[in-house]
Amino acid sequence: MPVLPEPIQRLMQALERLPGVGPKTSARLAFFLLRHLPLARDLAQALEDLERVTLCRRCFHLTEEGQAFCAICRDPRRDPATVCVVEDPLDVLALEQAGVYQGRYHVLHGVISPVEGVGPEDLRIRELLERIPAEGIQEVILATNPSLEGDATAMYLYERLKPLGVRVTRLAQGLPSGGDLEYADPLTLVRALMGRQEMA
Amino acid sequence: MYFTHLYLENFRRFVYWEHTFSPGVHLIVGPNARGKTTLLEAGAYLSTFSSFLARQPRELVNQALAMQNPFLVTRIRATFMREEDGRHRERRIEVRLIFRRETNGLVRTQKEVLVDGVKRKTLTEALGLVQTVLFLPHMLHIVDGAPELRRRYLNFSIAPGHPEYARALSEYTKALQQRNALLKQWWERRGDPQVMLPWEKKLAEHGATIMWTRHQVLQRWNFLADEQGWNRLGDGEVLRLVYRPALGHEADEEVPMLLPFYQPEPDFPKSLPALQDLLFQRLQERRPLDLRRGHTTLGPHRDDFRFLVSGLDLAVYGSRGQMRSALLMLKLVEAAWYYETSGVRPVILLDEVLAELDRERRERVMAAFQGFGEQLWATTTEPDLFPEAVVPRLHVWALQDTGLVSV
Ligand SMILES: [Zn+2]
Repeated sequence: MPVLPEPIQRLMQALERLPGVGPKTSARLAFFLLRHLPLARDLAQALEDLERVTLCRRCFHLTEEGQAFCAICRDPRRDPATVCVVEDPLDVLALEQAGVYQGRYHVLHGVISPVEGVGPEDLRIRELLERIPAEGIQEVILATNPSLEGDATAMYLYERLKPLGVRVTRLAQGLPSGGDLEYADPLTLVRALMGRQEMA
Repeated sequence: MYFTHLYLENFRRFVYWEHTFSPGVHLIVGPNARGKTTLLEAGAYLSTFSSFLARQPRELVNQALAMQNPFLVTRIRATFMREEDGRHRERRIEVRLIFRRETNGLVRTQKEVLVDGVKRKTLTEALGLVQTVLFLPHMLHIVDGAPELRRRYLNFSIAPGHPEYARALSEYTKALQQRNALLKQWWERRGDPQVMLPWEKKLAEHGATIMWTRHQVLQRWNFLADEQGWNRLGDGEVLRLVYRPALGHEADEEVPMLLPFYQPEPDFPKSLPALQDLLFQRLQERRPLDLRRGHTTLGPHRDDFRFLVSGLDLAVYGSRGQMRSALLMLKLVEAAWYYETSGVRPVILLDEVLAELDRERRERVMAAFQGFGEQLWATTTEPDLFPEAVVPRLHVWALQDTGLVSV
């Protein structure tokens, strides 16, 4: 015989599936929401609106339904000749917070990792290659994480981009090795961007 | 360096164990299966963060308590005096093994290391702080066992003083898993050589660091052994360690058994960049074979080194006594080498080291080890093997479940 009403149980079970949330935390959160119903309503609306988030048709960053392009691609002040390639939308966020990058992005949505069954065809690589001539791109900055997989993905991209006659650069060393762009502080990111080097 | 205090909690058979140590020679006496080796294992664990006697960290967690509890913390904590800038400084280290049994029955053991009370982000950051040399009779298999044992042994010995080696090992292992996965998926996924190249570049980069370090270290070990005369086994026989790098020019699995004494490794590149280029090239050449086999057939994960006595492989032609001598030589060399590379005298940990040796050899071995360590722990079931004449100013202890008692 369940001790708690079914809606509370369902909420607790859903919360428990979030990363870093155990049974105790999920119970605490569920009871908090029960006592703060206006907040719960706001949260429910926000969750429902998540379904309206889609991918930018050009760079595959996140955008809203009804908008073909993301806010960055729509911004006329951004330099269309420079593209920064990142693993996921959180990296775009980190680089935007650093506040010095003026070009556009391309989000791969992952890295090459045969162990996890992820090959180049599972990432937005073909789309990146098509963008180079179509948009007259001059420089591609490879900003995948400085991890083994991030580095290998950058090497692969370099080999594919080189024949297209575009300048290919990689973020400078100084990012913690094996680290993640999204956890790097803005100053480190600025330095890495400024000190980017031509790949060979 | 020397330990001043050792504290164990839920480590193997010990629930709470502690003892305060002075420098010098400590003989730990007790019957078998009371945990004498475990004590030495704990001391060595603080330098390698991995045990030569355990495949999985969970083996180090007290088994009886782990059966009863879904959550258990094992602690190995020591205070020690370490040579720094010409004097001894007191330092502290603690390794925690956090054991969890999840509701689905899966077991996870997580490692944490604290240096002077501060948690470190990675274990590699704390490598090299504690230096130990561990002798276990079990290690005789290094001489006559499978190559995998010798590779493991090299990694255990080199990593504590060489963080860049430890990092290369971990990156190499990941890159190897990636290339092997790719080799297996090749046919079904219409393999693209351009996908293979980045992993081969990474394997060459980190693999070359590993092989170059192994090559340099083994050469230095041979030099030190020769300089001290430790490589002379009597009857004019000379022991030499020979590196067998798996660079793809060995006649597949077959290793030549007969080699003249000082012959260098055939065709070993003269610089690290040259080695990296060679490894990269060989990996590409091997690709068709590797595709058929479904795994990577060359590189440091297939390396070996051999013990040669006057050109003959000890594993094939040696007596048990010679193998023991070879292992003792290796231990002495390691002690000398740690001191040479770090300025720190390692703590010497010896398990039943004097068994099977005659009196003269016993004296020589103990004198040599005492020359390299400020502190030495030896375990034995036979304290008579360590008379005053062999080991002056000896502290003799009886091992108890919670500590040591002077006898
Ligand atoms: Zn966009």
